[in-house]
Amino acid sequence: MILTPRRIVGLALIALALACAALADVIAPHDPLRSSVAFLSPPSAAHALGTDELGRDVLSRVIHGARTSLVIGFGAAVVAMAIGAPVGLFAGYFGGRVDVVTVVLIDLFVSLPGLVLALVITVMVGPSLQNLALVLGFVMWPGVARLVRGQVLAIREATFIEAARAVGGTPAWIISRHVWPNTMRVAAAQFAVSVSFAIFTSSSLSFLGLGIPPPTPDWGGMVRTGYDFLAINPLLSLGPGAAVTVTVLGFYLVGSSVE
Amino acid sequence: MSALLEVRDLTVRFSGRGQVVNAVHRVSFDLAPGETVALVGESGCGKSTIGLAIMGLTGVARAGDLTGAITLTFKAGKRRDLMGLSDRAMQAVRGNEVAMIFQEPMSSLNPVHTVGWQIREAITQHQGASRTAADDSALGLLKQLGIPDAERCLRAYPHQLSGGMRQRVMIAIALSCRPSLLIADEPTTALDVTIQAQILELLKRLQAQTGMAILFITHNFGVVAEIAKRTMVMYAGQIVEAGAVSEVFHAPRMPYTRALLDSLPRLDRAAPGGRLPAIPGQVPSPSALPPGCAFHPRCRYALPGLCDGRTPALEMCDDRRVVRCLRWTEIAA
Amino acid sequence: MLTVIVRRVLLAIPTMIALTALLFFSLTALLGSPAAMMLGQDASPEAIAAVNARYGFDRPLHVQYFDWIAAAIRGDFGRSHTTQQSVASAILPCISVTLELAFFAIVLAALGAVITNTLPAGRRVLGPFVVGANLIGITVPNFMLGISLIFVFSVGLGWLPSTGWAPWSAGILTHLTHMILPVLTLSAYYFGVFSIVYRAEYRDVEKRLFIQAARAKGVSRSRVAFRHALPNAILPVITFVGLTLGQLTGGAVVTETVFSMPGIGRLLVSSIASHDFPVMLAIAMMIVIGVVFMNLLADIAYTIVNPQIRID
Repeated sequence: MILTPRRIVGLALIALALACAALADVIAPHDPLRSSVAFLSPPSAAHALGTDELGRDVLSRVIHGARTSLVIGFGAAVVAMAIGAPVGLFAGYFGGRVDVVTVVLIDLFVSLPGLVLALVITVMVGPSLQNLALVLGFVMWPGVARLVRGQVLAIREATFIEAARAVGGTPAWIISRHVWPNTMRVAAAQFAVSVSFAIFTSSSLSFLGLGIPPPTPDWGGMVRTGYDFLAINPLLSLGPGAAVTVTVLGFYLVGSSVE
Repeated sequence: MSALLEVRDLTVRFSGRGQVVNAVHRVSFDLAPGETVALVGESGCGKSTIGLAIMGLTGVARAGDLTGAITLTFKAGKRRDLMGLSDRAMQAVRGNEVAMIFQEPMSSLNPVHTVGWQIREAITQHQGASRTAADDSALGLLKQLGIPDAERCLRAYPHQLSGGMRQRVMIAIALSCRPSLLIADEPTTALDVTIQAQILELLKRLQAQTGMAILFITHNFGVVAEIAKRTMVMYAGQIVEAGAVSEVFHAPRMPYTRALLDSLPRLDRAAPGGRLPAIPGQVPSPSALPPGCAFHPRCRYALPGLCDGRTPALEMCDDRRVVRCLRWTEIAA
Repeated sequence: MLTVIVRRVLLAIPTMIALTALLFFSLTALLGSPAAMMLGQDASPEAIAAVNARYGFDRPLHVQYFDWIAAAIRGDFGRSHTTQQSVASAILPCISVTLELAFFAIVLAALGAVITNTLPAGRRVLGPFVVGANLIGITVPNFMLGISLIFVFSVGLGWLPSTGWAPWSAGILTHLTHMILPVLTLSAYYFGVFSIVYRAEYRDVEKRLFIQAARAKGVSRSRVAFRHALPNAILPVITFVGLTLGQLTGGAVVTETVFSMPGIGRLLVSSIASHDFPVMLAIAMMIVIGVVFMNLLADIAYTIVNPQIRID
């Protein structure tokens, strides 16, 4: 993989997010759950971003929040790929009625508002780490399937498949040897973009009140509560908001740079 | 009589991705008013680039990549070097003084506009005529080109017409402002053989009517014989032989021309040994030209020590006949 | 062309029926008992039975479905559980709010995307800025953008109000100034999406021969860009605009929440929060129908605009 500036920035941001998630206990200056009497204090040496309405250190909460977001992001992407990739592969390879029906379903699904869909389902099943990952994965899989199918169709038209068939390969062999490696590249890029989308959407869900229940630090939820205190300390909202943006950007830059 | 078009030392370089490629290298030629000259060569030899260079449409990245002089005698009489003109000034030249038609009739017409709209655009661009006046001119042009049901054609979209019709529309657009020079870049290559003949006839007829010159770019020798009096053969960005068509065809002096002509199937003569002699090897990539004469690796007359070292220059071999070969005097006609 | 359109319309009708049925059944099935949902977990069985009888939840699902559709066609969507007023009267005023917000946002996004990516000077000089703006639009979540804008323009500079809705009766200028920030926020994402789609298509179109042929006619660069390239490159944007309109029938949930606008998105969220099943169902059905309908419109628009499909 060639390192273009776009990819370097993306990878750096991803590394930052991963570091925060993995090393939160080490990096964070304070305990994210420890409340104090110094609530809503402005940024200071002790608290780089200030404290929230319960006196907790905002910076530590932002750092810890990476864990939740990344777990949901990766989980959702895995679910989306696990369902979407095989569906796209088979629809694209076998074609015919199966393909037509799949395409109609996918197109319809994709045109539904993803956030609303996730909203409705999450309300019904209740917000938890697993549920959010599953719901978002469920919302994203048709998009993945469509892309994978497109790749398969493009490759299928290529003559080397004909050549392989002429030599006597069975469908399974053809798929595993020829179709899959080429599709892998696109699928990997789609994975990164899916993580980006999942974090984007899950933070919106949290903002609307459907995130991980408190007191776990959760970026979207933090923005929501911080919004009330925008005039007092904007960093309560803008801090976690920037964290979401930067993480989404990182994954998107990496995922979209593969063509 | 002074030349309509004088090209001197035209060099076009394409630079990108760290590579510099000489598409056209120091090409010089003249075109007299009303004359038809064919520019022949295999794909990639630079012939299309010359046409685009005259039109100012090569799209070269840096200023130094396009050098030389292209002096045109305008319809009003003045003579200008087109290379020195800004893009704005060139807009008045394109379609008006010099027009160009392209190879793919389907792709050269905009699919979302009617034929009438596209012809009108050419007319109003240069003549500022009103819509009805432009429509009348367009109608007249189509009729002149022998298109049946011209009114319907004006209102049609390109995809509703056949290939031959589209090419006639292209020609109509090109001729709408009566240019003094028409550059035809492989206009018949994508067409059916019968349509091909019709289009060539049409071009000859129009030329007789308007007195315009034609620079006909092609890789097809048969077409050259049909339409041109003079021809220039190109190889690897340079002119390697030029002269009257009859002379070049009957007595080619440059081994490349000779080999090209030999490889054409002929009805009047069986191929020696029953097989068409193909030119061995491949056209060199412009970024990796062989040392000395660009053709020497594929030439059966190449002399090691001579042809791989010295680069041949264009030499006069007869009146109005030039050739670029170090050994042309020794090679029997 | 007419046959194509008629065929698409005919296809859309069974799709709508199938989808609304699917939605109806899955919502009622997944929610378990709507009555339990509305009354809360520890309601007595008698209370639940009473609610079931009152709303008719004890009837077979398909009967409920047809009754709902029949009533809906008449404009009766039932009564809101929380407010007891008719669902229709709750939803109707919200529609115009969302419609206005969506309309302005989409128009701004589409115009911005197409114009900045067509201007020849723009593509050369402004290129990196446009790419940057696209990136911002796609990666910054609505809520972050909205709150940031509020912080800068409302809290900080005090130029603009922090809420998004002032009724027309408060004056046109007041109404419009309130709309500025929410429209900007919502359009940013779509600006990014439309830009990416349009730019990719434009790049392909630019390479086609008729662009060079137009220049060879003496046509200026900007005229070639706007009269030759744009009409060809804009086709996929039309499809996307349709898709977006369909998606926004559910309201711009986050934007409306950030700017406290009484639109459908916010109504949906509040009906979910208050377990107001009739409202939730009505909005969800509206979304499904809206999506299918908008997709149909986008299809038809594409057919009309593209002469190659329009004629024979």
